[in-house]
Amino acid sequence: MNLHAVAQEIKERLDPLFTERVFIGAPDSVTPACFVIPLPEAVDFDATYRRGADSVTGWEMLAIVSKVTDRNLFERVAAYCAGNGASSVKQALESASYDSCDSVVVTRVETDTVTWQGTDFQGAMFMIDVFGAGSTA
Amino acid sequence: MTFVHGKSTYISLNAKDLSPFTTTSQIEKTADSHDVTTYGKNAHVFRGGLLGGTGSMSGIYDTSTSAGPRATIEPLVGSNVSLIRRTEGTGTGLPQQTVDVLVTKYTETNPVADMITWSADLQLSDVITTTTQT
Repeated sequence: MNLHAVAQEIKERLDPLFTERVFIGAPDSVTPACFVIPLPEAVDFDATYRRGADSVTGWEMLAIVSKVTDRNLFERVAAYCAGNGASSVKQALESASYDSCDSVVVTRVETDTVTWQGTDFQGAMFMIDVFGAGSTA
Repeated sequence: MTFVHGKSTYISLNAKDLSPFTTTSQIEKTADSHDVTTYGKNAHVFRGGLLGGTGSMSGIYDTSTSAGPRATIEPLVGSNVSLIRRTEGTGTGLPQQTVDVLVTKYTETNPVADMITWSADLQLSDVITTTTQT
């Protein structure tokens, strides 16, 4: 399972929600709403015998939704955090199959403010579990 | 003397390699115990009898309709097939156990917050043949 290939497929599924502002790795600048896919903290190898499967648990990905002064902030964040709907991150990531891995599950989302280059934004941190083949890149 | 990690374990059932879907397995070898205590003894005396045993294996469910655990094991419930287990992995000089088994149980478990898992219970039938891989 190749992390970049997984991130690429996640980007493809989220680009429509964030008008193509989905970044693999840190962006040079932030224009909300956008979504940032950083490297995960860890990959757990050998979920099954003979390199059958690997997994990533709690891969944190950040939606930067709007400036904290946005009057519509609550509504915008709620749409991305919803379990389903046109802007639902969970629905977008779980509704399709993947070539780079077997399973992508959004397990949790936490909201908090994010400071990026001195500006405060409202963010939503999604925790994602990924499960896939171990023996192939 | 070397300790061995379990991640390289090979296990197959009915000639189908189930290693990529398996997270744990065991073979338990047993023997009948016959009490041959006679007068004059202060403690029980036993002698061994027929060998027997059980096996089990379990892992993570896969959707494959040809090679996955459901495709391979579910149809075998109630049938005798060959189990091959390489405890130290595959390689020349490493041990291999081959035994005929009766598949007595196949279970799928679906938790709401985790991967679907499967398990199988096996009844050993006849002796375990232990060989060295070539």
